[in-house]
Amino acid sequence: MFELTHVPKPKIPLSLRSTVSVLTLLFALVLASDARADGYVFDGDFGLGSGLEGGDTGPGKLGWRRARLRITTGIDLRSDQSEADALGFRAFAEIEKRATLGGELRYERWISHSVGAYAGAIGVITPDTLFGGSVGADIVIPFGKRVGLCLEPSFSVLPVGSDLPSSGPLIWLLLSAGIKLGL
Amino acid sequence: MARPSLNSKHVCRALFVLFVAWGALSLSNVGCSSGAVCYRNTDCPVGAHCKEGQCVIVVIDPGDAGTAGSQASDAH
Repeated sequence: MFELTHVPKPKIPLSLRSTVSVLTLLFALVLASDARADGYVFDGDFGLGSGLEGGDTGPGKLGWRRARLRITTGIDLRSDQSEADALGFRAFAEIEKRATLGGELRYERWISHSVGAYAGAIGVITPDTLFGGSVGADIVIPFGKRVGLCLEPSFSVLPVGSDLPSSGPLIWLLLSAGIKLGL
Repeated sequence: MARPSLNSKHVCRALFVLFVAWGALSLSNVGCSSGAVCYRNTDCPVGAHCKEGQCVIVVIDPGDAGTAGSQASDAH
């Protein structure tokens, strides 16, 4: 025969219950933020560019000439959550006359997979310095799923640096063409 | 009446034509300064700098407190 007895429910102290609740909540938050971690999409590119270079050629005179040929390479980094926004890093080397080395950091906004615009900071770091701002557009003509021809018109104004002979800024109106590769 | 449609092929062709035109303009110096004018100090040879469009080498005469500028011979 079974004898039914009433087993009293164990009393859990309020402090313990509160602690467990808080810890559970914290763990949930931590785990949730891990699960939400973004992946990044990389695009690499390599190109050649030139265009027009404007600068001070005397008191108050702005002259134009062909800009030095440059090699450009870099990456675009974008979150897979929002592929319209990207952060672009570029390094470039001017390979005519005295060679220079520079870079660019830019925010890119892609209207579609093949058309985007950007704005950022640009500079030459050696042998003399130049710093300024740049705006431009990216047009990608796809050749496959991950490869495309990239055309990039840009406009840069560089008012600061030891490469400037006077207080007038240097202006670049450039067009780069190259290959864009989905990495 | 059928309206002419603009497809991606036309856009690509237009871009290519624009690219070629830009390249031709960039590579010619028509309407621009001659190559002898400097715009940047790195247009000048090492030891010279650009002043009012001309490369200048600064020569310090030990017998004189001042400086004298002479035009660089191999300015680009």
